[in-house]
Amino acid sequence: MDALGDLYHACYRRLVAQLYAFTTDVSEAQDVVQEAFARALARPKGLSDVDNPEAWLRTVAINVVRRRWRRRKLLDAILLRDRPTVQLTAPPPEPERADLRDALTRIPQQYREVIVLHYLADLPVDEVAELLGVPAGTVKSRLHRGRQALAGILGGYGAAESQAEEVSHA
Amino acid sequence: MPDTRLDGQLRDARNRLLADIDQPDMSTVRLRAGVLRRRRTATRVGGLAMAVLVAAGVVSLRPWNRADHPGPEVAATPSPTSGPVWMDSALGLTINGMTQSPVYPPGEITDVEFLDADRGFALVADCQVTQCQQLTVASTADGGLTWALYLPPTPLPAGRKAVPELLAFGPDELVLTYPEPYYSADGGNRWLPARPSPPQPVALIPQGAQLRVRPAASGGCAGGVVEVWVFEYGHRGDLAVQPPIDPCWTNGTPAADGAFWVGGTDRRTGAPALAVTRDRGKTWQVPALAGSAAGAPAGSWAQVSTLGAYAYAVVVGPDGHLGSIYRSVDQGGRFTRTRDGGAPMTPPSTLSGEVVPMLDGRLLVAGTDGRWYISDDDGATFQKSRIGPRQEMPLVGRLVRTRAGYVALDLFTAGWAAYSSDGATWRKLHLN
Repeated sequence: MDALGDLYHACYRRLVAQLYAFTTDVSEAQDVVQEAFARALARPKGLSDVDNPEAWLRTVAINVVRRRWRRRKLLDAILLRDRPTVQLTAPPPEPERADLRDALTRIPQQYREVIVLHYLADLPVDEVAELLGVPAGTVKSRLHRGRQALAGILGGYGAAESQAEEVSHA
Repeated sequence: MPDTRLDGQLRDARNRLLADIDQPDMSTVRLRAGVLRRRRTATRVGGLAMAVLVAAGVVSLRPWNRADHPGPEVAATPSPTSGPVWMDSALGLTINGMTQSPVYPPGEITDVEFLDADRGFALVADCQVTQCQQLTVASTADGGLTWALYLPPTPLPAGRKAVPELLAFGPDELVLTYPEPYYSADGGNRWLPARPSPPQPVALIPQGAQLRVRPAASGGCAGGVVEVWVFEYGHRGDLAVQPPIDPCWTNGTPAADGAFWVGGTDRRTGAPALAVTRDRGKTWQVPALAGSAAGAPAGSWAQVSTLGAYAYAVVVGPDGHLGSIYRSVDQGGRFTRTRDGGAPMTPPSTLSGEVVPMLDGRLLVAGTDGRWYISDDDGATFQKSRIGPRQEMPLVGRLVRTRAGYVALDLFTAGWAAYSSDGATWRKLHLN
C-alpha cells in the first residue's frame, strides 16, 4: 500500500475528530478530511516533500472549513431572498447523545474548539495551542471556561468545576 | 474538585464521536483527487484560453459550447469576485454563475433533488452508447457551491442504457431505484441493499413515502400502476386503492397541502385526466378537465404543478406536445381552461419537463426547442426568452420540480444544471 494509503488508514478518524471541533457536524468533518486527502493525492509529489503529513492534512482541512464558512456567509447575504419559507433541518439527535452535542453547539466557538480538540480529539494542551496559534495558558483558560459553560447548559453539576491544569488528559 | 459527571459525559461523547466516524474506502478519495486534477487542468486551459482571446480581440465567445469551453470560468468575466450572470431582463429571469471551478464527476447529471435551498443531491451517470458504466452521487450542503462525491455500489445491467432514479427522503436518507434498490442513511457515503420486503398492497401512504408510476409494457398510460416507495425498503408495494385513471405521471412527493397527484388518461375515453388523493391514498378525486382531448395527439396525458392554493394542469403529448392548460385557485378542486389545445396557439408548442408556477403569478416553462417561455396570463400566451452569447439566457434542456424548488437541466446543452426556489432567480450548480 502507498504511503498516503497508510496515512489514510492511520490518521483519518483522528483528523475527523479534530475537524469536528470546527464544523460541529461529523459528516462535514469527514468531508473536509476526505477533501484534504484528495488534495494530497492530487499533488504531483503527494506528501513526500512534507515534513509532517498529518499536520499538513489538518491545516488543509481547517482551511477548507474556513473557506466554506466564508462562502456560506457571502451566499447567505446574496441569496437571502431565495430562501424557502420552510427550511428543512436534520432530525434531532438521539436522546442519549443529545445533551452534550447540543451543548457544544451552544457554547462560544473558541471554547468549543478547545473542548473538542482536547477532550474528544485527544490533543494535548500544547498541541491545541499550536494548532490554534494561541498560548497554552489561553487554551487552559478556555478549557476552564468552556467546562463552566457546558456545565451551565447541562445543569445538575452545581459549582463543581475542574481546573484545566487538573486534566490528566493532557 | 473535578466534575466527574461532566468528564464522564465528555468521555462518552468522545467514544460516540469516534464510533460515528465512517471511513470510506480510499477509492472514494482517489475519485475526488481525479476530479481535482481535472479541475486544475480545466482552469489552466481556461486561463490560457482567456489570454488568447484577449490578445486576439475575439468577442465571439460561446459559453454554451462545452466542447470549446470546459467550465464556467472560461466564459466568466475576468472579475475575481463575481461569477458570470446570464439574464433576460425583459422576462425577469436570472442565472447566477459562480467563480469557483466546479467538480467534474464522470458523466451527465441525470437527477437532482433539493430538500431546501442548501441541502441537495445529484445523480451523475457515465453512460456510453449502450450502457452506463458508473454512477456518482453528489451531495451538497451549501446550495450547490461545494459537492461531496460518492460511488454507490449499484451494479448496472450489462447491455442496457438505463439510469436509476435518486429519491431523497431526508437530509441524509437516499434511495437508488434501479436495478435493485439501494439506500444510504448518511447522505450517500455508504450504501446498502434495500431491506427485503415482500410486495404487498399499501392501504395508507406512510409518512415520508413517495409515489412512482410503474409504466405498462406498452409504454402508454393504460396498465400503469402506482407504487409506494419508502426509505430503507425501496418499493414497499403497490397502492391498494389505485387512482381511477390510467396513470403515467405522479408528483411523487406531496404538494404543500399534502396532496398526491397522479396524471394519465381517462380509462373510458382515453382523454387526459388527473386524480388526487388528500387522505394518503384511501380515496381519490378526479377533477374535471373540460376539453382536455382537444388538439391532443394520441397518447397525451395530464400533469399538474402547484403553488399554494394554485394548481396548473397541463396536457402533454408524445414528443412533448403542449396542449391545453388549466388553472385552479382552490388547490385543484375546480379547473378552468386558460389555453385551448384545440385552437391556434402561440408558441411554445412543446413542453420539456414541468410547468413552474412563479411566486409573482407567472408561469415558466421550457420548450423542447431549448427556450424559456414566460406567461403572465395563466398560460394563454407566452413570451420567449432571448438567448445568445452575451450573457443572455442559455438554452435549457428541461425544468423539473424537486422537493423544494426547481432544477433546470442541461443548460447550454452542456449538461449544466441550476437550482431555483422561485423560478425567477437561478443559481448554477457547481457540478460539471
